[in-house]
Amino acid sequence: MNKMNKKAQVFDLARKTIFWTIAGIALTAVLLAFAITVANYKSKLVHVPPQLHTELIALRFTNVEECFTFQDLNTGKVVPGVIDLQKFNDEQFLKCYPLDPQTGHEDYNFRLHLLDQDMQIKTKDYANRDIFSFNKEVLVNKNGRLVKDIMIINVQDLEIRR
Amino acid sequence: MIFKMNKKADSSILVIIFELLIVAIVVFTTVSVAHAYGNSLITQKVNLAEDIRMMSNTLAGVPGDAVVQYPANVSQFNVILRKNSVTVYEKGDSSAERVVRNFYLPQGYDAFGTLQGEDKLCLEKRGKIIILRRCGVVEQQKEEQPIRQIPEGPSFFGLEILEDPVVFVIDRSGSMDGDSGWVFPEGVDPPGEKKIDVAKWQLKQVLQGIEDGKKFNIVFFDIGVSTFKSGLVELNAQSREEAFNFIDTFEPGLSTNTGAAVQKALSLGEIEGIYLLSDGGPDVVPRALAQIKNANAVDKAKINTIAIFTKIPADASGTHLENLQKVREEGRSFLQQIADESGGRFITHE
Repeated sequence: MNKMNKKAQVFDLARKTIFWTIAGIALTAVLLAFAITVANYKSKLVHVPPQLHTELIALRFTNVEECFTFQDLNTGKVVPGVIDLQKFNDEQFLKCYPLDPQTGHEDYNFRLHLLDQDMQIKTKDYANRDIFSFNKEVLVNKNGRLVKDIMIINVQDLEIRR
Repeated sequence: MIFKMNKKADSSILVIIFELLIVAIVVFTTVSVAHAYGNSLITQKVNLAEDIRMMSNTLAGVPGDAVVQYPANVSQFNVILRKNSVTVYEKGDSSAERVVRNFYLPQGYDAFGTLQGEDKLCLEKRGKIIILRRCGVVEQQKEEQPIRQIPEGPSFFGLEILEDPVVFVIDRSGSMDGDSGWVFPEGVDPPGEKKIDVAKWQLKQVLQGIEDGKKFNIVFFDIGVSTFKSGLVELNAQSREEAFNFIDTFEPGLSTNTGAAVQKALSLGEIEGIYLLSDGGPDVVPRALAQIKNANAVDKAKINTIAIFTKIPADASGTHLENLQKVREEGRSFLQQIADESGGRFITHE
């Protein structure tokens, strides 16, 4: 009888140990899953779609004289929506969107393509891998004449580094 | 046998208690994490920084001037806008807890401004400058008309002296050497054209006007701080004469340590009102605001502020004009904030 009891006790202890080992693993997995869910939820809450962000940055390309916008030198008047072909170059791009030389590759980089003029410019850290793009209808000042064109804005976002 | 049975039952109860305890710990930890996360402001901080970054990018890309108001209450946060970054933090945050977002403005553009615990946040684009400020400042400025007359009663730059005791805190930084553009009324012999000359003249006028018996002191500051007396002084013929002599010794000096000057003024005794005259922001705006806020946390003296700016030359243009405008905006925003936070009055003379 005594022997039987001892056996039962040993079996009971073993059973409990196995149970708690499995329970411990399951609980850890649940907690980890919870932590990951919270972290994902948090990053979703603060996520800004890169399309929105770059669209806002791109406003300057066609509206600001420090970028490519045509400025009448006689009157000083800036004409938003009109691209000055003489300004459409990489040096001007650096003035328009002066990325940090050290960390610029970690930020949005752009490649602009004037479709009909077949002219392209890009930021210094552009790695020739477009992630997404969007278009803007523009007028181009070409030797004093305004012609319609489409500016394709190709974006290399942060995913390029991943 | 019964004893053995009892022993087994006891150990079973212990195991059940242990199991329940483990379950309780897990539930408690999960709820605590969720609760802490729910109460955390980190998400709002990040969102605010992201939004200001996008607002700055948008303002840099729109033609003409514009003002944007942030559509949420931001009173839990402090915000610092710089040329290439925005920092959002809560009071007491370490540098690691501060949220910083970088952006790139076109060449020639600038951005600046500080906001501490204000409900509403506005970003304003004026020319090539983006200014972070509390909303409503522009409307108030439009209502304020420059006062360029000799005050008839005891008033300092048009602000009537309502408090007793008072301390006059006068900026004597290098920029106070600039032209005030002050139009002196007929019959007044101009003491000089510089802002420091007008400030000294106004100070004498007000001391002349305040009735004897009231307590006062004077603080002049540039990089250092000089006080007339070590504590509050009763105004009478003798102290007035001594004060005039003290005032005459000051000429424009170096930089602008406004925070230390107001801190010193508040330490001179139980002050009811301070009259702070300056022509620009301090060298380090957030530090100065924090210094003043901390020093005034207990006594709650009213800090009335007067902004006096250099007259902008008619031929100023380009970068020179932008710099002058920038100094004005920074100074105005800084002085307005000090007055607002202490319940004081703000006036600007341009």
